[in-house]
Amino acid sequence: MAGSANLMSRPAARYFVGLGLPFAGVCGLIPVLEQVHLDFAGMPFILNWMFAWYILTTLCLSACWCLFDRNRKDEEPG
Amino acid sequence: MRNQAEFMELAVFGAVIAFSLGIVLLSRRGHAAAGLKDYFVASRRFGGILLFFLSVGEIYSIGGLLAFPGGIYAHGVPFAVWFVGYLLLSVPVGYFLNPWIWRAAKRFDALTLPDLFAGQFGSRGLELIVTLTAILFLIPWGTMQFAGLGVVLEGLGLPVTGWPLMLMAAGLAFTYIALAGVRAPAYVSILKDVLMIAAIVITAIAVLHVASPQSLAAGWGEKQGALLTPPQTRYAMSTLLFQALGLYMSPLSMSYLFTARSGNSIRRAQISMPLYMFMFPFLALIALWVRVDGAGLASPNQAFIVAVNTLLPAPLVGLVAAGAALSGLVVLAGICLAIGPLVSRNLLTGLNEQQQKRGAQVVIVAYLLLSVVCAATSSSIMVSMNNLTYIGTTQFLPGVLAIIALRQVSPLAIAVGILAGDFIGAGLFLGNISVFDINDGLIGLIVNACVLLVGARIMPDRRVVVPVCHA
Repeated sequence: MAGSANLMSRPAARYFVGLGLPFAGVCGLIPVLEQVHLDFAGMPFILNWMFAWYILTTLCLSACWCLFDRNRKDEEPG
Repeated sequence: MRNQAEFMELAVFGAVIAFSLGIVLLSRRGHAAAGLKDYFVASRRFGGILLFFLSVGEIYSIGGLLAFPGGIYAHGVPFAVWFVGYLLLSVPVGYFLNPWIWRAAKRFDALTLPDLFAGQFGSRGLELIVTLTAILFLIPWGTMQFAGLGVVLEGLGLPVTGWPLMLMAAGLAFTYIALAGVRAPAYVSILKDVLMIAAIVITAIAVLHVASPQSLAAGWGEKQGALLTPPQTRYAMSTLLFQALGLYMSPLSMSYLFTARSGNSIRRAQISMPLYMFMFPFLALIALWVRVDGAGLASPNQAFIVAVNTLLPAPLVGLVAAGAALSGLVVLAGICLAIGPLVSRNLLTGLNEQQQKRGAQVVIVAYLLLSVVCAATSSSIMVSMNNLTYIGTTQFLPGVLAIIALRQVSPLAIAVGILAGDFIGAGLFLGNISVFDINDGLIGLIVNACVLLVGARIMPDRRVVVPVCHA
C-alpha cells in the first residue's frame, strides 16, 4: 500500500509511461527502424512496428490509468 | 443488369441514410427544446462511449478513407509512417492534455475555444484574434469534406454528381444539426464507424482472396539502403510531432471535448483509441493491391474506390458509399457546430442565448454554401487544405498551455505569438519554402512559443490571473 502511494506521488513516472514510451517508440526510433529490411505479412518492418504500437500505446495508457489515475477525483485532472 | 446493380446500390445507400435520420430523431428524445449549452456541448453530459465515438470521427473520416490508401499508393512507406505515427501519438497527448482543457472549459462555462481565452485573460482583442484565425482555418476543413464526398460518391457510381450531390449533402448535414445539435454527430458516428469498419474489412478480405500479402509486398517498391531518405525522415518526424501535438487544438476537437462529463471520461475514451486504428493495416493492403494490380488512377485518392468497385458486388458498394457519406457528414456537422457559435457568440456580442443559437444556424447555412462553392472549384488540393488547417489550428497550443499552467502571460504576447506562428507556418507552406525539411507548421509553432515566453518575460501581465492547474 505504501509502495502504491509512493507510485501515485510520482508524476514523472506517469508521464514517462504514458507519454515518453510511446513517443520514443514511435517517433524516436524512426531513424533506426528505417534501416531494417525485414518484411512481415507483406509489410516493411517499420510499419509492423508502428502497427504494434496500437497495442503497446493502449497498454501504456492502461498502465497509467491503473497505476496513477484510476483513483483520481473526477474534478482533478493532471 | 447494370441498371439492376445501380438500383441495388442506390436502395442500400438510401436505406442507410434514412436509418441515420431515424437515429438523429431518436437522439433528440428528451432534448427537443434544448438550450444553447445542450445544443452545442450536450450540457457536458457525454460519458466515455459517446465521447469516444465523437472523438474518433477524425480517425475514420472521409479524408482518412481516401488519403491513407491514396498516400500509400502515391508515396509508399514515408507517407504511411507519418500518417500512422501522428494519429497514434495524438492519443497520449490527449490523455494528458484534454482533462486540463475540459477543466478550463468547465471553469469558464465555455462553448468554444475563444471562450477559454476570453475567460482566462478577459481580453476582447485576444478573443477576436483566436476567433478569426479559428474561422479562417476551419474553412478549408469543410471544403475538404465536400471534395471527399464528391470523390467517393461519384467514384462509386451514384447517379447524382457535382453541385446537386454537394447541395444534398449540405442539406442533410444541416438537417442533422437542426434536429439534434451535437447529439446528431455523436449518435450517427456509431453507425458510421460500424459501416466504415465493415467496408474496410470486407474490401481487405476481397483483396486477400485474389492476392497474398507476400505478393503485395512488391507494391512497396525496390528496397535498397534506407526506406526513407534523410529529408523524408526529417519531414516525417517533424510532421508527426507537430500534428500529434496539434490534433486536439482544432476548434472541432475542442467542441467535442467540451461535451465530456468528466476528466476521467476523457481518459477512459483515450485509452482504447489506438486499438481502434486497427483498420489501417487493412487499408494499406488495399492500397498495395491497387498499386501492384497496376490499375490506372486519375488521382491517388481513388485507390480505395477503385478497389471497392472492382472487388465488391453492388449492394456492398452501396453500403460502402453510405458509410463514406456518413463519415463526411458527421465531420461536416461537427465543423458546423464549431463554427456557428464562433460567429454568433465570439465575433458578435450582446446576443441572448436564443439569438446566439439562431445566429449560429444562419452562419452554418452560409458556411455550408461557401464550402460547396470552394469544393466545386478546388477539389484537387485536398492534401494542401489538410496541411493548412493543421498549420493554423496548432498555433493555439502555446496559448492553451498558458491558460493551463502559466502566470503573468499577457494576452498581447499570446495574440502576437498566434499571428507570428500563422504567418510563418502558412507563409513557408504556401511559398513552398523548405527549412531543412522541417514541417512548416512546427517552425511557426516554435516561433509562436518563443514570442509568448519572451513576451511574458519583458512585459508580464501584472494582474492576478490564476492558471487552471492552480485554480
